[in-house]
Amino acid sequence: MAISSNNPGQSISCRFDGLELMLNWCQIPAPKNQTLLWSGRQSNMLLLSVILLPLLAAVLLALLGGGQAMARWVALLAAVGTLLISLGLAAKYNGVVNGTASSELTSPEGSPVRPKLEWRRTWLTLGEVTREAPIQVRKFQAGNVREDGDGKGIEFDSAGKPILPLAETSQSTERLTTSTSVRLEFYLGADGISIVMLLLTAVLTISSVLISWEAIQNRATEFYICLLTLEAGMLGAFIAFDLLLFYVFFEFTLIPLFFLVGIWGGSQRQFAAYRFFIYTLAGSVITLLGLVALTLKVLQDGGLATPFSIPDIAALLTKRPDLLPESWQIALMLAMSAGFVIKVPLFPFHTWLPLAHTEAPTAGSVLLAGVLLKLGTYGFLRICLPFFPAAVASFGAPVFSTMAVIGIVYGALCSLAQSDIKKLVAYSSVSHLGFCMLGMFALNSEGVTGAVLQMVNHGLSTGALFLLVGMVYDRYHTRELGDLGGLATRLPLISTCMVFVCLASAGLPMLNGFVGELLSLIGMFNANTIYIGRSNANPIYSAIGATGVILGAWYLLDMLRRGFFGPLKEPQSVHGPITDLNMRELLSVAPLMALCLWIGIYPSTLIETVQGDVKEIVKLYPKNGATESKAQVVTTDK
Amino acid sequence: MFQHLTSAINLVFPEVVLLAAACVNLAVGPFLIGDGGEAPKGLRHRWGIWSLIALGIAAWLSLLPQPVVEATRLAPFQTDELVWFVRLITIATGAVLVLVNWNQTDDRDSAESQGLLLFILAGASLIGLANDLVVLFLALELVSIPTYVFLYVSRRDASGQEATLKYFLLSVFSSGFVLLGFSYLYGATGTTNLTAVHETLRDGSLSAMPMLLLVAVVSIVAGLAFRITAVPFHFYAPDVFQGTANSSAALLSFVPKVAGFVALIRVLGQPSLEQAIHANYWSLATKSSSVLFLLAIATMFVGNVLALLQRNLRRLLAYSSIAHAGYMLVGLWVAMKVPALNVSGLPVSTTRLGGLSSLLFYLAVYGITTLGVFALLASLSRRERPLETADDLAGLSKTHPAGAFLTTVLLFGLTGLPPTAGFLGKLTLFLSAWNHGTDLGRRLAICLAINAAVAAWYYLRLIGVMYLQPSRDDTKRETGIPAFVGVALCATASLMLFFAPEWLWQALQRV
Repeated sequence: MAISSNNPGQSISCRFDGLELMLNWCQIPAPKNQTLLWSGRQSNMLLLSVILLPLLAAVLLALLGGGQAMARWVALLAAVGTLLISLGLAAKYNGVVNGTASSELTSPEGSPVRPKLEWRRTWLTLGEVTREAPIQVRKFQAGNVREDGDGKGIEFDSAGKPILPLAETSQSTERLTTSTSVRLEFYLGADGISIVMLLLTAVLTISSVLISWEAIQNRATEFYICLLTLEAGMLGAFIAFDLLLFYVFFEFTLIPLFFLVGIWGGSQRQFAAYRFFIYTLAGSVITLLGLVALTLKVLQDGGLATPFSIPDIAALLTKRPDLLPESWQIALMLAMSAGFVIKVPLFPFHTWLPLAHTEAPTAGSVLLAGVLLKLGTYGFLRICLPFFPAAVASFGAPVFSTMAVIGIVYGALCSLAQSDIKKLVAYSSVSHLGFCMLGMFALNSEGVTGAVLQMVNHGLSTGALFLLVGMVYDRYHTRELGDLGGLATRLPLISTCMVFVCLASAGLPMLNGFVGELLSLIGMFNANTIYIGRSNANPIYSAIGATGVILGAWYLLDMLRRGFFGPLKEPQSVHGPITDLNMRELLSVAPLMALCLWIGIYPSTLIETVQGDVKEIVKLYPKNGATESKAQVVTTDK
Repeated sequence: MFQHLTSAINLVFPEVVLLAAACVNLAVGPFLIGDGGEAPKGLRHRWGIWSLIALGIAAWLSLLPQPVVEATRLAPFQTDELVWFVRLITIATGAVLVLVNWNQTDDRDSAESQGLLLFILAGASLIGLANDLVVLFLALELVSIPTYVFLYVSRRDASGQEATLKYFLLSVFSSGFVLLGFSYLYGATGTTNLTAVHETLRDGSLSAMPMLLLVAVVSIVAGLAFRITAVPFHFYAPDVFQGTANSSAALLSFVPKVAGFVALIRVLGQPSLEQAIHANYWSLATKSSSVLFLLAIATMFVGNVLALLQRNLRRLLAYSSIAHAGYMLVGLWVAMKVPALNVSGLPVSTTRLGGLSSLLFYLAVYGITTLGVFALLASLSRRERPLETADDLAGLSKTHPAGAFLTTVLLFGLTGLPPTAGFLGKLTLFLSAWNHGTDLGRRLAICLAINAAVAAWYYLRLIGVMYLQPSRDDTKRETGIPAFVGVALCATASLMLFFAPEWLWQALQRV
């Protein structure tokens, strides 16, 4: 168990020999000679400034007004600046992880969620809590002990519910009186997963600004204000370690995106914007209810003074699994995930997505697909998995895996049926995020690592796809495959990029999509989460998921065949002179392609950044270690 | 005797200042108007500044250290933290109301209009001080009676008259209900002093005649529910809001709510946990909780569902005001209902997260946001280019970008989205309802969540109209400066309270 969770590559290599070469590359350790760049406190201010910079730029634009020319430059500078700060954070994070830099940490040891960089300020003190309750200590009764998966004895009462000793040492029934104040906090932090998502967001925002350079003529200042506010919201969600703060950013992203879709979108933009907003809001209100119930529970029964701090809650729930009985966990998990399943979106909650994607302007689609959908998966990873291990293992994994598997196949089939390229890419998102969820609910380190990789990969490749579709649309004002054909002769560079990105998205080995999908599927194959009757259904799920890879290649290559190859066919409607990829467009799409290639060839950077955090979360699911320990045996035999 | 009177005046200094200023308005106002009814140009500016000065002095006086008067069986007044809060909120929102009212009346009527507003504010502020049924009723009437005239002064056409008459008749009717309840209460307990009433009830000596007191509870709640526009006492609100001027609608959306909720808190009292476990414990609060529960549910749903159908802006805001009353009733219910207790008689939830502080926090937040929206209507609406229906807002982002932006902030505040104080308001209501520990509390929290999602639709539609729809006339709109200052203040306060809620929340914790 230890080995394979340290390095997902190893457990894979023992099963799939053909992959050994590729995955051995993953095992090259990252360079250790990081220099100390900043002292702890200063760099933690970086966490705040990464949100503030785009926000300040937005405020500046709002105050100065100015035209399109100035707005886009300000936006570009702010986006580049944000990327630089994110890179600084990444460097600092690396330093902390490798022990060359120091950082004051307040999160408790042994928590499944531990940010390595922190910035905390009190936001609102809700009130004094006085706990005055007799400590109940029950003794173990002989003959009433069953064994759970761990082999540890857990006592069960007559109703079959586990009774865990509350305070192991104390035998007295004295009254415990403590008085603490309940705090909401501005709690920003960063762990490996945050850093990866931060960088993805920053890169995609630059691409979005560049692709909108000429396309957005109408109300340009407002457009860039929305874009920058959206960036701030997304970055904030990824570095928020206070539950409520996460929720605040999660909700806040709705506002700029509503305007982006509603003002600069296609013909049905208003309907799409309203539908997207209301649908998502309805889900997240339920999330808020779950959040309130959870925090009050940990506050009252657990006596936690910071009931909104994600690391603190996770630590408490790990230390005292008796605090939340499984029925509570299931209820809370369902409530909390209501917002997330809509955001991801999991089948059958995906109905808002195709319309919103199709109607959004190119930059909106890029950020919506590239980052905003990840807020949902990130929410699952950050909140559901560490908080509700029992519910996730017994209930969440089968349910969400089933939804994910249906989503993979359904999304792919829908994509096959589309003639609008943008809609095709939108449905492919449903399919690709299905892989991500499938990996995540495999609950082992391959699967969860694969899920995080898939989050990044989908962001890069689908972002790039939307960029390229946007470029074609800018030239021909149509996205209908029926109107287009043989563009490879007319637009060779764009077509080359398109082929490259499609292959990345379809999961060609050596490109990024392959690593994420493969790890997710292998994770699911190895997992031990879903049972039909008495037989383990995980391999079946994995197999059904794998058909999504084939279907993915089918619809993407079919799109290429119809749109970009064969005899040249251009729409009859009026359009300007057609030129190929210009420098600005190249700059927007090339970094994404480069990253696709990098992750495909050398995924170890990414895997190493996230594997520490993944390992901590996966520790909560020891049952899935069964297959991993088999893997370990094979490895040692070799 | 004289000493008693002077000491009482010490307690109500801020209110006395407001009343005195209002009397000056009424006494001096007529002399500034010429024989032909012609007022000097710009007279309304002078009266507006005069009102602001009076409010400033009142604010300064209420911030001075106050003499503390315990609520005793003899004192007609009491000064506790609630008094401080009610004063603060009436004076702060009063300043915004003065700004909204600034250009609503012409120069000729401005003295009366602003003076009546000060009367109303003084009355609302006095309600917090009352520790006696008589004082409470007087304060309530000090809010109501000037309101009738205020409605009439600010709009005199047919629809304005209809609205005024409607409000007048129904308001008098509801006052009658309140009086009926008070008299039952007096009949049962033999005193008008609220502390004495509560002590008598707490002893349980009146548990032999529960029906008598139930009549009292129901008629008091019914009468005051009219002021807070709770369903089914809300019928007047949409018609009156639509028929009156923007300043009157702004006033009606908020000040009667302060009056009603504070009066309810004072009359019903809060249940004392120490005694609530005794079998014969009897208090108005616990007996009213089932009524409040039903009112809260009905008010939330009816307000929100009917708001979905509205096109007229003030009518829509009236229904929104009804819905928000429902949210606040959730807080009131939590404050009045004894929370779930464990075996040792202690509340299951040990957090000091009472319904009262969330109710008052929400009241403040709602006041800021709703007054801001009305201020925008007052500021931008012109006779030749009105802001009456949702369609009139079309393209506001082009014709008045600053106004559209600030309104967006305010409307998101009403929706309860971050980063506005409305989000924290809803959150604290959620928390306190869930923290109550009973199934009823959780049901209320769930209803609140459903309604928050429903309400998002009609607020979002207004924002959508402003930003997504083209305007019929692309020329810039004129700005009415004083009311627009009010809009800016409200929007800023709504944002500030999100980022720094601590000072207000801490103050409310002591109530």
